[in-house]
Amino acid sequence: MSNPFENDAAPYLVLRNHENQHSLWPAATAVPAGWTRVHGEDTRQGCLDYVEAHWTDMRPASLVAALGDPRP
Amino acid sequence: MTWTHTPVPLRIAQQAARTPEAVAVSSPTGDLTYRQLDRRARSLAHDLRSAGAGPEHPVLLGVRRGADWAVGLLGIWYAGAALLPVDLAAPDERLRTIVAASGTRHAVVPTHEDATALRRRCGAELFWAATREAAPADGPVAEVLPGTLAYVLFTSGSTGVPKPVAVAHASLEHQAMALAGRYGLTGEDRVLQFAAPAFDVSLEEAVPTWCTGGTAVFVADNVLSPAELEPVLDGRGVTVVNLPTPYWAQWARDVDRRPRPLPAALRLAVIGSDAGRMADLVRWSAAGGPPVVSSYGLTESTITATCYEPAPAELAGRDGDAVIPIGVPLPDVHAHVLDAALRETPAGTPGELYLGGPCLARGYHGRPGLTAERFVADPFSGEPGARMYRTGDRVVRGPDGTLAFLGRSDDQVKIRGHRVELKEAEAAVAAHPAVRDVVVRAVHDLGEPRLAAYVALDPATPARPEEIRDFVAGRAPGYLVPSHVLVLDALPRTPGGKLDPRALPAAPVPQPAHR
Repeated sequence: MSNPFENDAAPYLVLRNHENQHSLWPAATAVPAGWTRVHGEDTRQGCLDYVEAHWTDMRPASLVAALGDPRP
Repeated sequence: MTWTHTPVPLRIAQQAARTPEAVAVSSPTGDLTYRQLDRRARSLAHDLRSAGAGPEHPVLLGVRRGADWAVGLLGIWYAGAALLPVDLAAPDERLRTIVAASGTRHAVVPTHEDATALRRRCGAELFWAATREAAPADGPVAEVLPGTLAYVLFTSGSTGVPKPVAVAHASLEHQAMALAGRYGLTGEDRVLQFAAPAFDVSLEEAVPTWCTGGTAVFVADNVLSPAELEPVLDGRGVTVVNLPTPYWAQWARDVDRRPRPLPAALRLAVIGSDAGRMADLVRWSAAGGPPVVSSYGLTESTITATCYEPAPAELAGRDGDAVIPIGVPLPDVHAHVLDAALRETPAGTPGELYLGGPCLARGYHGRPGLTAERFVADPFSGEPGARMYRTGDRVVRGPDGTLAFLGRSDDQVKIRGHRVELKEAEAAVAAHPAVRDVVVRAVHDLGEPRLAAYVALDPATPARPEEIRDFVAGRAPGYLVPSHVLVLDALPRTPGGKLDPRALPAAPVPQPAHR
């Protein structure tokens, strides 16, 4: 059984939710509610490179807002 | 299920206020009441705060199991910081990797001598606090938000670098309350602490127990056989055990061969960390063993996500060779069995298991790409923006909704309860200078899986198989060390350059060396 997240030949998207969490996503599948496309279509590696470059503070956005402080 | 959201540190502090004289920790070196545990944890938290630890800071806990572990764990949480447990028996290199990857700047150790030794081993300057030397201080319990980091726990990783799983307080609390309910824990329970501190099952043993006022029972820091454990359980009045399935299976077979009364107070055996066979449940039940709950989960799902508890009537007529099902999800946990197009498969059709709900970890600490690959958007949740974790486990849902385990989708294997990715073991072998090419396979011919490494050597630098094995043993944890190293002229490849596993010779079956 091939996994839809492990196909190097297929196009992917990068999605982001209200907590600034990022998700790799197969371009052929409908985007789930509460998620926004922020990158793609692109290759799987291109999408992962985007995530590495842009998801630099991995704390949930609501926590960052509540703590109100720079990262530890 | 609903409960008021109260993070675990505050729950334990409230328990200590309700039952200060109840025993929280029972260990061979002495007991701690809830009042003593709470006070010592507050003192330690005071020291940690003074050293700059706080929310979102992982604090390395470098202690053996027992009172130091209990005080250290709770002190770190009282300070609002995150627990980073390590195995002190691990090679220095693994400790260094963990310190670097977690970005930790603080450590909790029993005494200041231990701090000196740990700093040397980690090769890092760490601020430290000592569980046995904290001056009495009655500091507050930090208020933590549900999304705050509770712990960072390193599992196996595919590139040779361990994967740091980051778990939030909301998930820890969900786990504690769901399992306290599932296992029916009360203040009367005495729960065995069997798992090693670097393994998250240790938290599953202690945290629900302390949230419900029971006693965590520690035994001597060495692995006992089931027959040796029995009198200890009896003598210490243990009511609940949580054991690796293969260890419990050994016990079930032993009791079957040599019938005897089981420890009198034992009312529940939780098993997990590995697949087991129905035949052992039948043996255990026939020998008068207490009810068994088989639990399934991953570090990424904050330990247990699903449970299977067979009714005795269900055991009759079951195929003994069948694998024990992984069961049904805990309250609020969602389990989806999906096909290659992310559609739910009908009952009876295998698919990959995806888990959603409050059990999900925040992700891999400091690893955004890896997190985005494994913790993905959840199209099935009613909650917009929810995520699900793809477990890599192949399962099938039965007509009654019970999930059965079929195998790993990729190359992960459980060795002595540790999740090992074969690529990590390969990376450890490939580090030997004479190794030109390597593939590691899991061998399942005996009960417990073993690793076999197939290596092709550089002709200029010959090495004996034992040298390669010893080299790995000196640098990697024991579960990554292959049982066999087989030297080949070249690894068999398909014309496309992929390894051809069918062309690999079988690993020899080990002869019992000492019996």
